[in-house]
Amino acid sequence: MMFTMSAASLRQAPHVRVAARRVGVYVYINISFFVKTLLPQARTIDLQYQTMQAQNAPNIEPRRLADLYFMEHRAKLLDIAAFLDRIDRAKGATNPGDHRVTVLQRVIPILTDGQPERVRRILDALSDPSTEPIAQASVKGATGVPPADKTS
Amino acid sequence: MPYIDPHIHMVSRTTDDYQRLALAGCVALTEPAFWAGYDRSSPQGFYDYFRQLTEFEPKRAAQFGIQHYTWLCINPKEAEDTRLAREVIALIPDFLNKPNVLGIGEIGLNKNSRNELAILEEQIALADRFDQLILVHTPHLEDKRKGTRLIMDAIKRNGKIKPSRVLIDHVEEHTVREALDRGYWAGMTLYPDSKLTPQRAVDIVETHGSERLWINSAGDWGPSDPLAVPKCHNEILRRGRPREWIETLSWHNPRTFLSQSPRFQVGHD
Repeated sequence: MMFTMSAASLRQAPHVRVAARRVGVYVYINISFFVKTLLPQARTIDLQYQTMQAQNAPNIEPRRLADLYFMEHRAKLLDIAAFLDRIDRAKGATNPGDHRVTVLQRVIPILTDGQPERVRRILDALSDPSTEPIAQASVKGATGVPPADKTS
Repeated sequence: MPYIDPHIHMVSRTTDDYQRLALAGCVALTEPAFWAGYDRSSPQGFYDYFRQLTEFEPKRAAQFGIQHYTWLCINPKEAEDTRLAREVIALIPDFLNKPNVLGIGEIGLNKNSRNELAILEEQIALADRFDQLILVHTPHLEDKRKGTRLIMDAIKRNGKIKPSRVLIDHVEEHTVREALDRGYWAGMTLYPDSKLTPQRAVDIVETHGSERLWINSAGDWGPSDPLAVPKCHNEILRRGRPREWIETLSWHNPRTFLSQSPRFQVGHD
């Protein structure tokens, strides 16, 4: 209470009001110069801050995500099942399985193991594990899975 | 909303696509030199291609109010023939003063071979010698993780190139963190089958943030969509994320990186 009264009486003093106004103008000029000088970087930093804020915002409700994506991914799951059925129908006693399909089937359990970062882990499992350059590029294309001799 | 598509191969697209891009809000794009789908038989083929990128495409884009910029190099798919590659590299300095050239790209690796790596190192040195920005192509599918690391190691070995002047393109979930942690910019390419879908690109932003990231369509002669960038914008809004994400990924971040080249003059009015 004492502090509130003192502050109120100080604000009414003419010399304090003038000084406060001068400080305000000084701060305003300097901030304006700072912002104008550092644009567009300042704007970018501000937007990145806003993005970080958004990322810290509550997650989207699982129900809303399911509403958005369930049907699309139900269809994709059925596509995978149909693809594997098609491969099975084509297989015969003299027709061994395709290496790419074998590797694909091997990573499918990652989908249901309950652990995070499924996409990264599947991509890692589908990556060439070697680290040295190969001697020569004999083809240009990629198959989508590591070569059989590099697959664990 | 105006946006920049920082990686698209317009030589493979129709004039109608320029119109569609303009109608969707694209005001500027950058076009890296790349593989035509077949191997060119001589350096002269590249000379003509570089003329197309620096003379013809800017005029075609300007008809629709789009600013066209480009990057020059020999791409990694044609780098196995080192003799041809070196003859092409020798052509590049004569084009670096063209008004729409931003730097060297898209250089990188394809199958991670020794010859590809040798030509990559020579083009990194070229960028250093002429003080150019670098746009990096990372390999496809199973070769991406290994190739991305080999490329970043090669840039580090050069010792003179600042990571902040290099964009590592075509990152995915297993490469994005390492590229950003090593100080590079990173590009997310939106493709229907390979690379990223708009949904996965937004997942990456939710997971890793938007700092030093951009999105591009890399529209070319294969399965690709020149309107993939605005479709990703729609995905951001559909998911209830703020419009500022769109501005960051498709305006402020590309402008900040590309404006390191004094030639890039988009939004500098």
